[in-house]
Amino acid sequence: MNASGAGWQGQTGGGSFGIRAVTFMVKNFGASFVYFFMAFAIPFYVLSKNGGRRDIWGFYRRRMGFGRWKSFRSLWGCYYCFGKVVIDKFASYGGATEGYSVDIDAHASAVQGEIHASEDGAIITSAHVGNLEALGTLFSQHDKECYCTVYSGEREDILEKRAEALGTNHIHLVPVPLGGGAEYIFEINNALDEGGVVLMMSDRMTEGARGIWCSLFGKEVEMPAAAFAMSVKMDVPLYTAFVMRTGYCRYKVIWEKIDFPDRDSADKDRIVARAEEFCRRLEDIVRKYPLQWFNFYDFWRENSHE
Amino acid sequence: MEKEDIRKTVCRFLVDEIELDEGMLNDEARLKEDLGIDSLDFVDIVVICEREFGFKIKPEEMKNVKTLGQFYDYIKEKLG
Repeated sequence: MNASGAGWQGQTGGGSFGIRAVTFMVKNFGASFVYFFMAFAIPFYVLSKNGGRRDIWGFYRRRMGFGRWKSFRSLWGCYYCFGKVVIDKFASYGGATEGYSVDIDAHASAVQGEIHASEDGAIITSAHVGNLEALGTLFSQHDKECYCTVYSGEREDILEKRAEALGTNHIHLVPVPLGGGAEYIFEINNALDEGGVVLMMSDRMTEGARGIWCSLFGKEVEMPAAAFAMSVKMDVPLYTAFVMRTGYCRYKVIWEKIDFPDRDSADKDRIVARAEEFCRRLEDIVRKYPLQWFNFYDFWRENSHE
Repeated sequence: MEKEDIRKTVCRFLVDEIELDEGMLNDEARLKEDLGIDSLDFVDIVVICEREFGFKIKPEEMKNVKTLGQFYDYIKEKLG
């Protein structure tokens, strides 16, 4: 995550030492042990200059409409939940997945079956809420190859660990250069042609990205257009997927297709309709799991160029 | 297909789909810097190559394609 000021820079915090340390502790002492010690570090992070607490506070007050006390509780809850999700991610990078479970209901299971049964490619889009990487466990059970776009601003050791942890699950990382670059487009096109699944985040504008204006929590924001445009122009189905933390080491998959009977409409209208539907679903999810909004900067200011 | 035919097809596409000014479309024009073609425009370029010329662009093949002229040459080479 990144503090406000210059938008998101395509980098996740942490490092390989952190991954090794967390993995060791989760494997030997259990996740709750690590959560306990993590709780002591949270106040330092929240109170630090780059913690983004004002932005998260603003999110709960202005976007969620919470009162002061509820916003205060939610702010701390959000950081604590984020810490737990990061620990769970690091533990999975290090292979400490025992004890974790990912629930998938009948509807999501049907969507999963549809994706895996199809010989055609598909795009799955999501946002920085919950722990989408837990979706990787579902790809480990099938032969379908999944290509995740990641910003190449990420630290190399993080990317390596991710690739190492996810590679066994038929998941490949596709670096997207910050500031533009087209190679990843060709790579994604080839992946889709070969029947692969491409996973793209659609909630963070980066330099050089093209956006679509949509309403999110009552305010217009610019959301990255890539996933929506590619699904329309490359004629592949588009799905939204969110993996939300529901309890101790437990996640739930919310997985749906964006399916409109709009083949006769102009491409531009089809792209906008998909982006708007994504925002509607994202808002629904965040309202249901308000502590799992993990954009620790002023999302509405950065994404509206104010 | 002759290079001139390739040029006409690509230019028509760039004008119609990406709404570029025809006057800008000279062989020396750089795709990104001069024509402002961004990553999403490349999605359209991928589609046109498959639809109009019947081949798929591989990521490593486009690394040295910086100008429109190089893009015409690349298409001609692919078409053999």
